[in-house]
Amino acid sequence: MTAFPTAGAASSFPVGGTLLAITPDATRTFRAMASDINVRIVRPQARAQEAVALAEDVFRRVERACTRFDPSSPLMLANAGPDQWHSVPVELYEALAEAAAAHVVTDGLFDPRVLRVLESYGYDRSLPFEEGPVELGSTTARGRHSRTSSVRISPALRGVWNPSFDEPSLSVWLGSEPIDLGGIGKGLAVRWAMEELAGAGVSVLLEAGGDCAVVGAGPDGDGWKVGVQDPRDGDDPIAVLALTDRACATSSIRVRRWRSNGREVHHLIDPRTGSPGGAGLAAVTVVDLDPALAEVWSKSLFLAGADGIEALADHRGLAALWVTEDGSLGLSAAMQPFVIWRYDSVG
Amino acid sequence: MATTVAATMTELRGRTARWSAAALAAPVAASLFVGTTAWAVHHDPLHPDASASSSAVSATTKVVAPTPDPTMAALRAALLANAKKVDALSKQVASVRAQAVALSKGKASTVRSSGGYSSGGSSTTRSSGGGNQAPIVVTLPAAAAPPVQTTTGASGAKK
Repeated sequence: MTAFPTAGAASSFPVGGTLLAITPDATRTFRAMASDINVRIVRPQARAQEAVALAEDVFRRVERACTRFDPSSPLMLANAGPDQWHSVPVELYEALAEAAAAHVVTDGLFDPRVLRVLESYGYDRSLPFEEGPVELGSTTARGRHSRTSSVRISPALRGVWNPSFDEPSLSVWLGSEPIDLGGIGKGLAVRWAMEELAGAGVSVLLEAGGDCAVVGAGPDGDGWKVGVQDPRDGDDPIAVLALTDRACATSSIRVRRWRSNGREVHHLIDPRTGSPGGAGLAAVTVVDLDPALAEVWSKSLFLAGADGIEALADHRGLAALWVTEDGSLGLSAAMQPFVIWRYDSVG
Repeated sequence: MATTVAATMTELRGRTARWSAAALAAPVAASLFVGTTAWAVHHDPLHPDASASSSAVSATTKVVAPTPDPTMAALRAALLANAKKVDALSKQVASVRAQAVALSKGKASTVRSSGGYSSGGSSTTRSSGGGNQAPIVVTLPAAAAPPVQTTTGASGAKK
């Protein structure tokens, strides 16, 4: 897999310093939302450094407002009393409004109320998935990552999530259940950060832990080449997309899966069952104009499972690519124009 | 007076005769020289019928095959056999290329392992040779992914 950023004549934005020599590309990497955030600007303009700083600030603010791993975050304070009105930062307010809209658009497949299910599986804090297999709540648990809470099968979430909003006071009422914005928060951060980065150069790439958005046609003028990771731990991509003025997001169980009390679980919870969903699927990638919608739909399509994803993607006109657990790769009709290479190409 | 005249006439008569003879002999000699030279040029002295008389200009030499050399004959036979092999291999290469093009256009499926896909694997095309030649197995390497500028995948996955 080609490492990001592409080696070559790219310069870097020094933290807290000035932009060094203006070369064809400028890059910046920082850590936020438990992910490496990478920015690449082709032929940066004069305001490029400022734009990158603003984009980085967007991620900080969204993470601060929407994280569920900090009990003092505005989201967790609201979750502590979901059936009460809470005045929240604008980032959380808008994120909740977007999440409510996504819940409607996806016919309930996207449902932030899965938080209690995730917590019941021990995912109530940032887990070290990158360090290897995680086991929770069993006799084989490993040291500090072990957990003793018992696993329960959560019931399906009943009814439509219908939070209330008061825009003048930036106040929200969540309903009866605490929520998790993990399925949309990063996509929104990418969307808002790209609004800051637009115009920073001839073309811009923003990648955030598997989600990405691009403005322009990339350094070669024929689209940014985005490799779709192999969900089965392969080093090579299973497909390569060429994107111009698009965003993409992938939902995969490659990393965020663990054993809880001996049961294999993952983080993509189906609100219809209250359990990990997406039977038969290993990963789903969606291309959309909006990074938040791409993220929402990648998760929602994943929950459709191997048997239902193609029909749902085509019915909705979504550009989707999926990999089943047995390694088969599928494409919706709308995705095909973006695919410039796939693993079974020969020639 | 008469002697003088006679002498003069004799002298004149002899000189004229010599010049006339010379005028007659010179073209004949030239013709002979040209004819002889032409005959020599067109006549192979090693030729079996070299001694046979022929016209200097219009003679047609009869071509007779040289005596077969066993070594040369063996080399010619080997050359001919190799040429045929090259021709057969060229046809096989053309066939394999056509199959590769068909595969790249999706007209044929690639080899897929029973356990799933293999991004770094290879596809195998079998092309049988003609005659007594053993089948030739040609392995086509799978096309590598083009260079990418970023990746999309599991959040938090190592890159």
